[in-house]
Amino acid sequence: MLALEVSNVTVRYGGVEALNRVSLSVSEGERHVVLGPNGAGKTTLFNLILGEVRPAAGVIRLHGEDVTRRSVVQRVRRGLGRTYQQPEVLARLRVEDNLILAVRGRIGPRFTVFSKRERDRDTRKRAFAALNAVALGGVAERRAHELAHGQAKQLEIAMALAGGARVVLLDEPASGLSAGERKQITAVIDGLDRSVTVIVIEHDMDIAFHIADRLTVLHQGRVLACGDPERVRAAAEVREAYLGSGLDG
Amino acid sequence: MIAFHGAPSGRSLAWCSTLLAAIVLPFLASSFVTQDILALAAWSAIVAMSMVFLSKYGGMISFAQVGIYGVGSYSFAILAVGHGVPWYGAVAGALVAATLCALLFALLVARTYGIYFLMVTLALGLVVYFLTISNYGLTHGSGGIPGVNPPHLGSISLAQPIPEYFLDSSVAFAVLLGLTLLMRTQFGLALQGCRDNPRKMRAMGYSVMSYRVIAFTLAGSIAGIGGVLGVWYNGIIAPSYLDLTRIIDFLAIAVIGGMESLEGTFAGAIIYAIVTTYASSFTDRYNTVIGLVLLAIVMFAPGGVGGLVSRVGARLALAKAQLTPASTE
Amino acid sequence: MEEFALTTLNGVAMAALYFLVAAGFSLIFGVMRIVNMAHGSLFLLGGYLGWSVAALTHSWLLAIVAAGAATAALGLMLQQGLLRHYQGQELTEALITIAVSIVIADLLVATYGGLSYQIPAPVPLGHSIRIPGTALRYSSYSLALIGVALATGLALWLFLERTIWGVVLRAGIDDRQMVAVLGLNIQRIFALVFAIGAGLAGMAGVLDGTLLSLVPGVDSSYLVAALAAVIVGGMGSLEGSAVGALVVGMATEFGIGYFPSYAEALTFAVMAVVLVVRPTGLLGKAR
Ligand SMILES: Nc1ncnc2c1ncn2[C@@H]1O[C@H](COP(=O)(O)OP(=O)(O)OP(=O)(O)O)[C@@H](O)[C@H]1O
Ligand SMILES: [Mg+2]
Repeated sequence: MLALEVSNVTVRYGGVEALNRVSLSVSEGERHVVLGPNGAGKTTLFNLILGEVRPAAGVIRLHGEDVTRRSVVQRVRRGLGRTYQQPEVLARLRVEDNLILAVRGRIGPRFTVFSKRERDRDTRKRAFAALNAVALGGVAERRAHELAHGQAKQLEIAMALAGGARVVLLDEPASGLSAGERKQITAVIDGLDRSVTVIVIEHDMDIAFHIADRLTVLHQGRVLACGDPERVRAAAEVREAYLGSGLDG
Repeated sequence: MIAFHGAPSGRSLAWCSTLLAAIVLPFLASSFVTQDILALAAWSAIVAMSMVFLSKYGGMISFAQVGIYGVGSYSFAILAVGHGVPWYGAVAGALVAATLCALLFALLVARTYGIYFLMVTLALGLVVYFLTISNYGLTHGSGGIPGVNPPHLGSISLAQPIPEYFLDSSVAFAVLLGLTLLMRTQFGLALQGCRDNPRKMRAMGYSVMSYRVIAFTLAGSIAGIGGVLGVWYNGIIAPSYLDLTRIIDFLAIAVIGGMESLEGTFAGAIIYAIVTTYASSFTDRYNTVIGLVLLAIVMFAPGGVGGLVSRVGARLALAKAQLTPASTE
Repeated sequence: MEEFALTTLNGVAMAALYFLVAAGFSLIFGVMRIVNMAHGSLFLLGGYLGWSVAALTHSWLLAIVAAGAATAALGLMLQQGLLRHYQGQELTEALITIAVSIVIADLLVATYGGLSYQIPAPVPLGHSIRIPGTALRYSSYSLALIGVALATGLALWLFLERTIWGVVLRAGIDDRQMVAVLGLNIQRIFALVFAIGAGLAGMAGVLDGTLLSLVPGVDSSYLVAALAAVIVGGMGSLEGSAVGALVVGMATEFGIGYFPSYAEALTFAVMAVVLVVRPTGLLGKAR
C-alpha cells in the first residue's frame, strides 16, 4: 500500500518552475531520502505535500486518498507531519509546551477548555518521551527561543514525531548539527516504528545512504533518478549532476 | 528554612494587599474619587483588558475594541431606553450584539497579521463610529441616546458611587481571573502557539483561523461587558464616545499598563483617570499632556507599568536568591 | 439620471481627495511598514495653515504651497526626530504617530477652536461650468480637483517608474532586505517618502477646505477613508491607492445620496467583501 503518491506535479513561482512534472511514490513504512543540489526543489516538494503550496498541475494522494484540494490542517489530521529546514518552533513557549501542543495537535478534540487529567498525564508522558529521545529533557523548562540552533532542530524533530504522524517529512534534519547530535538524530530515525513512513531531505551522504530504503534525486525541479541505493549510486547522470565527488571520495 | 517555606511569596502578598486596598479604599475616599476615578478606572480596565488579552496571548493588536464596546453600549441604550426592555434583558441583548459584531469582525480580519491587522481593525472601529453619527433612526445621530440609567438591585442603586464601584471592580476582577485561568488551559496554550508561529501550528494540525476567531470573539464579549458598564457610568452613549480620541484613550490605558500585562490595565486605568481628571483642572490642553505622556512611555518605558513591575520583581527575586544561601549557613 | 450623473461626479471628486491622502499613506506603509496615524492630523493641519495663509495673502496658490511645504517639513521632523530610532518596531512606530496625532489635534483645537473654516476657491474656479456634450453643470473647482489628483498621480507614477529613486523604492516595497543589501541609502529614501506623504496630506487638507470645510473631526474621517482605500486597493501600490480611493469615494457619495442613514455601511460592506475575497486588496500582491 502506498503511503504517499505524488504524480506529475508542477509548481510555478511566477516564471520559475520549481517543480516540473515530478512524481514520487512511497510505500508504507518506507524510509525515502530526497537528494538534490541547492534550489533543486526539495523543500518546495515538502511544502507541496503538506499543502502550503498549491500545484499548477498534478495529484497528491495520501494513503490512497486524493488530498490535492485539502488544506494543510486537513492533511495533517490525516497523518502528515513535518519539520522545516530552518527550525520553526513556538518561540515564546516553553520547550515542554511546544511538545504538549505537538502531541495534542492530532489527537483529541481541539477546543477542550477543561481537560481530563488522565489524558493530560498521557500527553505529558508522550511529550517527555519524545524530548528524552533527543536528549532535551534537561531544557524542558526553557523558552524555545533560548535554544541553540541544533537544539531547536532537534526539538522540531521531536515535535514532528511526538504527534503520532504516520507519514513524516524531515527537511535536512542533520544540517547544522554537531557530530554527536547527528548520531543521535540518526539513531532516533532508526528507532522509529516501522509503521511510520519517513521522507527525509538530506545532504549528508553517509546519513542519507544509511537511512534510505529508496532515494529520489531532484535536479532543477525534475526527477533525475529514483530507486534503491544501488541504482541511484550507479546512475551516471546523478554522478555528474550531484553525487560525483561525494561518492568517489 | 521551614519558616521561609511557610512565608507568603512576594507575589501573593502584593495581591492580598491590592485586594484589601481595593475593598477598603472606597470607604476612605470621597465619593468623587470613588466614582470618577475608581469606578471609571474599573470599567475602563475591562475594555483595555480585551485589547491587552488579544495582544498578549493572540499577538493581535486590535483597534476595533472600542467600536465593539460601542455596539454593547448602544444596544443596551436602544433596548432599555428606546424599547423599555428590562435591564437584564437589555444586558443580555447588548452582550449578544457585541459578541456577534466581534464574530463578524473576526471572520473579516482573522487572515491578516501584524501591523496590517492593526490597520484593518482601526478601520472597522472607525466605521462603527461613523455609522452611529450618520444614523438617526437607530442611534439618533451625533446627539446619541441620553437618559440611560443603571438598574436598582432591591434598594441599592447602582448609580451610587460605592455600589457602582464594587460592581465594576468585581466584574473587572472576574474578567482578569477568567482570562488568566483560560490561558492556562489547552486552548490558551494553543492560542499562544498561534501567536508565536501560525505556520508551525497549522503544520501540527491546529486550525489557526479558528483560534484567532474564537479569541477575537471572546475579547469582543469582554468589550461588550465594558460597554454595558460604561453606558451605566456615563448615562449616555453618543458617537463621541467611540471616536478616534476614545480609541486612543483606551489604547493609552493599555500602553500605560503595559501591552503584555492584564493586571497592568488596572494601574493604567487609574493613572489615566487621575491624569485626565487633574490635568484638566490645570490646563485646557490636557490632551496634549496625554499625548506627551503616551510618547514618553512608548519611548522610555515600552513595557508600561506592568513591565516595570515585573522587572522590579525579577530584581527582587534575584536579590532573594542571592541572600538565601547565606541564611542557610 | 441627472442625479445619478451628479452623484458619480461627486464620487470622483471625493475619490480625488481620498487618493491624495491615501497615496502618501500607502507609500509610507509600503516602504516603512508604518501605519501613520498622524496622517489625518497632518491633513487637518495643512487645511488650517492654508486657511490662515489664504486669509493673510489672499492667494490660494500660496496657501496650498505653504501648507504642503509646512506639513512635509513636519513629516520629515517626525520621521527623523522620532520614528527613525524605532525602525522595524511596528507597534512602537504606530503608537508614536498616535501620540503625535493627539498633540497636533489638540493644538489645532487650541488655535482654531471648534469653528468651521472654508477657504475661498481661487477666482477662476469659483463658478460652475457646463460639461461638454451634456446639459449638466458642475463646479469647475471640483473638476480642477480631479485634474490635480490625476496630475499628482501621474507625477508620482513617473517618479516611481522613471527615476532611480523610484526604482529603489519599489524594490524596497517588494523586498526590503534587498535594498539594504544593495547598500543604497535607505534612510534618505525613508525621509523623502515620509515628507512626500505628509506634504500630500497637507495639500489635500487645503483642497478639502476649499471644496467643503474644515472642522475638528475631518482628520479621522480622512484617516478612515485612507485606511479603507488602502485596504480595498492594496498596500503600497500607487495603482492600488487610486482604485481604492475611487471605490471608497463612490461608495461614500452613493451611500450619502441614496441611503444617508447607512452611508458608511456601504464603505464597510465593500471593505468586508475585499477582505474576504482578497485579503491583500484588489491590486495587492498575493502573499
Ligand atoms: N516562495 C517562493 N517564491 C519564489 N520562488 C521560490 C519560493 N520558494 C522557492 N522558490 C524557488 O524555487 C526553487 C526551489 O527552491 P527550494 O527551496 O525548493 O530548493 P531546495 O531544493 O530546498 O534547496 P536547498 O537545498 O537550498 O534547501 C528555487 O529556485 C527557489 O528560488
Ligand atoms: Mg530546502
